[in-house]
Amino acid sequence: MSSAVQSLPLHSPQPPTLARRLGQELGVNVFACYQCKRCSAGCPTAFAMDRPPHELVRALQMGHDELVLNSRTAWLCSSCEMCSTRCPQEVDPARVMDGVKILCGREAITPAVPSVAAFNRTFLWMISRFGRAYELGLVCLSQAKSGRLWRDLPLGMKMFAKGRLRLFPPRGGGRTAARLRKKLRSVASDRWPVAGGHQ
Amino acid sequence: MRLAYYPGCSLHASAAPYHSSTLLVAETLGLELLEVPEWICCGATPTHSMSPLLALAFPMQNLVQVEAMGMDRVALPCAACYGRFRAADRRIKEAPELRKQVEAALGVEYHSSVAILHLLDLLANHVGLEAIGRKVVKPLSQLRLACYYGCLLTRPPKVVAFDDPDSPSVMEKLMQACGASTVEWPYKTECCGATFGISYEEVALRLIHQLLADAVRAGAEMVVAACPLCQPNLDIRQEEAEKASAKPLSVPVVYFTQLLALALGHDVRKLGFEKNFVDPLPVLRQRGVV
Repeated sequence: MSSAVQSLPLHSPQPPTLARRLGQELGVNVFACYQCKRCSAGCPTAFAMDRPPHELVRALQMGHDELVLNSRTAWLCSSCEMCSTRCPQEVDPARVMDGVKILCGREAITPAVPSVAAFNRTFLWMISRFGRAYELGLVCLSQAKSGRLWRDLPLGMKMFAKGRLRLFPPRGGGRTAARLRKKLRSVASDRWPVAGGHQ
Repeated sequence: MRLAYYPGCSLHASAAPYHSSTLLVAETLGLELLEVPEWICCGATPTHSMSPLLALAFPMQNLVQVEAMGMDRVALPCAACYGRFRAADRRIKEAPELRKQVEAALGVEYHSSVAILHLLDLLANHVGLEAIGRKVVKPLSQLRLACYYGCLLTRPPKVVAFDDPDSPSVMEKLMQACGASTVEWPYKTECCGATFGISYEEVALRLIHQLLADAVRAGAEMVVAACPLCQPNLDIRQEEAEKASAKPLSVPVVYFTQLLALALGHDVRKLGFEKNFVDPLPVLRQRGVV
């Protein structure tokens, strides 16, 4: 036997793949997928993705985690549930997309579509403060974070003029929000995101 | 009929006409809708994309509050809120450890005693089409409508469906009971772009245009929606969608409760049509509905 051949340890500890983690944390089984592509065929936003849904599932099966975490696919999922409705194997691709976004957040991976991640974080932060979505604040803050604040200004003015945008934050949910903030702060696995976030 | 009412965030803001017309409809039909006190956001899409725990906690907190009201049914006008409540309800039943974790974190106990109904389900299936038909005083003159369901009213079927997920018809039947005629169109359960209407317009604009173009192709004079994100996307963003595709549209998009309230005899000025970006009044006048 050549001395250049290195013997690898038989049971080297491997960090769990994304596919494993999705299975453990969200109960989704990507290994059931046999690539029928019904999900991609029915996906309304696949046209904008770098890889359609079925390819992301395939990548997860093969352990190409870097590819998955840096792909636009999950961020461009509109959660329309068409894929999960049609999947013959009950893989629940919509949940897989959620899981990828959740794990991106936990691993502090820079999201491949920053404007969507900014919107999500801002939304959650708004609820934590007001208990209800504050549309004006949400639009301004999330668009400012993505550097797109001025694009929608004319539309925003028209919405105001038509009375479709409230100037002030919503009232009524504040007390419940404060109670939840206190109680959920100590929960280890998920934290309320701060407005700045990691990106 | 008394039941809890969970309007959701949009109905107190950009979708105020949906809220006001719902209350008018409820008044005529003898429905007492009691708003859940101090309700909190259902979490919508961003939450289930960020935290499985919070995605469960928000609806559960609200459901606990419904139980505290002594109510066993809650009506929701928003498709997303409805989807989230139902998804949480289902998750609670399938994952008892997660349920215990959330209950412990919130310091509450949820008894799974609340039936979660979308407004369409409540009206068509619980109040009944016949009962509603009897109260129609201003039939809609065979106004041609494309009934738009969007995504979350019928999908995923195991979680939310009160109608066929591929080809639902409950909104058509309701509108027909009001004297309108409806068109069949394949895009009626296709996505409008949802939150991409704010966070990634280019994607939403393409979806919006495809949808509306198909409704027009099918012969619709107006689109009716049952979701306070769909309606703004299709209405407020319509002009931009036209520009992006360089093809004109000009089809008004209203909430089904606005037309229902009109048919039940409510004053058109109370229905919030002036808030529409694409004005529905010309079509309504032309048809003699107004």
